[in-house]
Amino acid sequence: MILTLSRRALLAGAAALALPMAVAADDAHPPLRMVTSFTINSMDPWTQGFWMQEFGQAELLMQFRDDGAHHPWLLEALDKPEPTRWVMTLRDGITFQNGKPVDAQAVLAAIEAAIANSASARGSVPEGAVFSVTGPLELSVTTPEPWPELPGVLADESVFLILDAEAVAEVGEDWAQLIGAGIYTGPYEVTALDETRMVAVAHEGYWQGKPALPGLTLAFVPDANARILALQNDEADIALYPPLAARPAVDATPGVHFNLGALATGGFTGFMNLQQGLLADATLRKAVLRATDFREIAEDVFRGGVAQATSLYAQNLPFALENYTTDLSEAAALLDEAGWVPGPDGIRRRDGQRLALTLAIYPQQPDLVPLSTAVQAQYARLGIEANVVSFDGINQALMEPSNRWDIAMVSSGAASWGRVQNFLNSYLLPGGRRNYGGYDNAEVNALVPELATEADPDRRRAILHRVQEILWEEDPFAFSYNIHLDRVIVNDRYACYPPGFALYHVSWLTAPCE
Amino acid sequence: MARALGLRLIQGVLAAFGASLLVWLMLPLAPGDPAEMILQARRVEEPTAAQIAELRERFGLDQPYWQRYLLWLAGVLQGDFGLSWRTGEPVWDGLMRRLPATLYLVGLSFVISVAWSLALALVAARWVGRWPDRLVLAYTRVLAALPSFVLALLLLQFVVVGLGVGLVLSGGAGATLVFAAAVLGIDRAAGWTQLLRAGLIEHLARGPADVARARGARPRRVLTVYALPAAMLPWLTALGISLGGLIGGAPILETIFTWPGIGAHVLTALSVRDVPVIQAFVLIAALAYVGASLLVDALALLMDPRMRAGAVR
Repeated sequence: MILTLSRRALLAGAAALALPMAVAADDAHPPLRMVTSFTINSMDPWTQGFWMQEFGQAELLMQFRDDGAHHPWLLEALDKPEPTRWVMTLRDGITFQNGKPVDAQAVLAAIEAAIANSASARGSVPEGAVFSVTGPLELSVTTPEPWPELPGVLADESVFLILDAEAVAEVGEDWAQLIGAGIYTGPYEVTALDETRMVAVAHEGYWQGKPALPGLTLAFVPDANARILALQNDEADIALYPPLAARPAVDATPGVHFNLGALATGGFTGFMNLQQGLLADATLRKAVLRATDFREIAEDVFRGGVAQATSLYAQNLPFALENYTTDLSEAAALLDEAGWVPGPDGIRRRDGQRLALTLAIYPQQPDLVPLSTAVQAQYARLGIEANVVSFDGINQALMEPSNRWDIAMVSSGAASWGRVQNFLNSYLLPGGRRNYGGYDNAEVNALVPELATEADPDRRRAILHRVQEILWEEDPFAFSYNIHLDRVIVNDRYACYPPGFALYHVSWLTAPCE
Repeated sequence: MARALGLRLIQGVLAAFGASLLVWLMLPLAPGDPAEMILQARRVEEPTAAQIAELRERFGLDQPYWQRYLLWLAGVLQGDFGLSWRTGEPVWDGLMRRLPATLYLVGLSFVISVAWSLALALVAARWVGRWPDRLVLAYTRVLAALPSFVLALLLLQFVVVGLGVGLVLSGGAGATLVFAAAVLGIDRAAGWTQLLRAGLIEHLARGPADVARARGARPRRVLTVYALPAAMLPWLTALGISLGGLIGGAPILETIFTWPGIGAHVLTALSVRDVPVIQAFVLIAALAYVGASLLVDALALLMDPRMRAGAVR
C-alpha cells in the first residue's frame, strides 16, 4: 500500500497535473456519483465530445490550469522554433483506451477529423494552417502569420479532443457504437449512456497510473433542488452547478458542503452603451466605474460566493492588472466636472435633466437580480438613479437599437481556456458581433488585431495591460463587476473535493477524502 | 354516430396542425438566435460569424420562415420530423424513445386524479355543508393554488429525504413514477373535484333524486345511481380537456423527479430554440388533446342519447 501511494505521489508530481483531486486512495472506494444539470445526448464526439474531458474520459494536448497558464497534457512539449511554426511532441507510451497507440499519425487524424466535422474546430484554426507529422511522436503546424493562441486552442475542450479517428469514422453516425469502444485516452471509459446517466469504469491501462476509483456515474438532473436533495439522500457525492442562492441552506444542512474553488475566467461583465443616452460622455463612464464597490459585491452581496473584480481579467491570469479602485470622492468630482449637480431629491441633474441610467439584466441569470439591486444602491450614493430592465435573449436584445439601456450586465468569459482573442474581437471591435454599446477606440482597434498575431509574450502582456488601462482610465466600456468562482456541493466523503478548474471535474486522482 | 365522430376527427387533425402553425408563427417573436444558442449548448461560448453562418445553412435557418414551415409540414406528412438542431438526431427517434415513460406518467396520473377527484366529490356531496364537505373544499382550494412543482419539492424533501421512502434520482424506477404521478394527479384533481361536487349537489336537488328519496332509496344510492351519472357528463368533458394540461404539466415534474420522459428533452429544446423538437412535441400534445376530446365525445354520445340525435340531424 505504501509503495503504491508513493509511486502515485511521484507520478503526480512528475506529471504536475493540477487536476481537481482529493487524496489518492486505495481500491476500496465505491464509484463516484455525480449529478449535473446538463444532459450528454450521445457519444457524437463532434457536438457532445467536450463533455468527455470534463469527467475523465477524454484528454487534450494541453491543459489550462489555475495558475492561468497552459501546460502540456498529452504533449510532452510544445515549442515554437520559428514565429510561424509550432512543434508538438507527444509523450511516449500513451494509448487509447482500446489499446491503439497515440502517436503522431493518430493525433493528426484526430485533428483533421475535428476540422472536417466540428464547427468549433474549424472556427479556431486560422486560414492556411497546415498540420503535418514530422516524427513518430512529433507534429508541426505552420501558419502564414504567427498563431500565438495555439496553446489555448489545444487546451480548449470544444476544439481538438484526442480520439481514435479511425474508430469514430467506422461507426458512421451510429454513435451508440462508440460506447465501450475506448476511443479516448482518459482514466475512465464510457460503458453506458442513456437519457438519465452516463457510466464509466476505470481504464486499467491509463498512462499516468491506476485510476483512484473503480468508476463513476454521472446522473443528468436539470433541476438544481433535485440535485441537492440527491446529495442529502445519499444518492450522489458531488452536485455540479449549484445556485449561489442555495449556499445558506446548504451551509445549514449537516452532511453536505458548499465548496468554492479557483477563480473562473469570467464573471458578470458590465457593458456601457455609448450609442444612446448619457454614457456617451467618457467622464460619466469613468465616474460610474469609480462608484462601483467591487468589494461589497463580492463579500456582502454574494457573501464570498464570487471573487472581487480587480480588473477586467481574473487575478490568476498572468496578464491581469490590479487597476480597479472604488473612489466615491473621485467619482463625485468627475460628476461635478461634467456638470452634474445634486438635485433636491439627491439625484444629480444637468440642465434640468436627471442623471438616470437603465441597467439591463436577463432572467437566465438569477444572480443578476441581487447584483443589479446592489448596484442601484451604490450608484444612488453618488446621486445616480438606476432603473433595472430585464431582457430575454440578452445578446440579441442589446444589439437591437430600439431597446433602451445604459449598462448591460452579462455573464461572459473574457479569457475562456486562457484565450483572450475571441472576447476582444467580439466585444470591443467595431462590427464585433457583441459590441453591444458601439465601442470604437482607435488604439484598441489597432492593439487587438496586433495581439492576434503577436508571438512575443512580453509584448502580448503589454498589449493586454494597455487595453485594461484604456478601459478603466481613458475610454471605459467593458468592466467586470465580479469574477466567478467554481462551485460544487459535496457530501462528507468528498468534503475536501475542490471544484474543477476550467471544467476539469474528474481526474485519475479524484477520490474520497481520507 | 360514426359520422359525428368522423367530423370530430377531421376537426381534431385540423386543430393539431393549426396549433403547429401557431407555434411556428410565434417562434420568430421569441428572443435569441437559434444558431447562436445551439452553438453555446455545444460549449462554443463565443461563436464566430462563420460558425453561425455554417449552422444556419445546415439547418436552413436562412430560408424564409413560411418556406421552412412548408418544408417541415411536407416532411411531417411523410413521417419525417427532421433533425434536432441541438443534437443532430432524428426528432422522431428522440421523442419516441422517451414517449413511453411520459405515457406511463400521464396515464397513471390520470387514473389517480380521476379516482381521487371522484372519491372526494362523492364524500363532499354526501355530506354537503358539513365538515367533510368543508374539508374537501378547503383542500381543493389550497391544491388549486399550489403549483405542482412546489408540491413535488415538498414531497421529495419530507417524504423521500425526510422519511427515507424512495429515491430522488429515479433513473426510471417505478417508485418514483408513483410519486410523480401522484403529484401530477392530485394537483390536477383539485379542479375536477370542485366541478363534480357542484354537479352532484345540483342533481341531488333535482326531481329524479327527490322521487328516489320519496320511494325510500338510501342517500348513498341516490347519490351514486341518480345524481352521479347525470353529473358526470360535464366532468368527463373537463377530464378530456384537461388531459392536454396533464401532458403540458409533465415536463416540469419529469425534470424534478428525473423521470426519463419527454420533459427534460423538451425543456432543453425550448431553452435553445430547437424548433423541430418543439414543433413535434406540440403536434404530439395537440394530437393527444384531440384524441382525448374525441374519446370524451364518444363517451358522451354513448351516455346521452340526446346528443346522438342532435348529431344525426
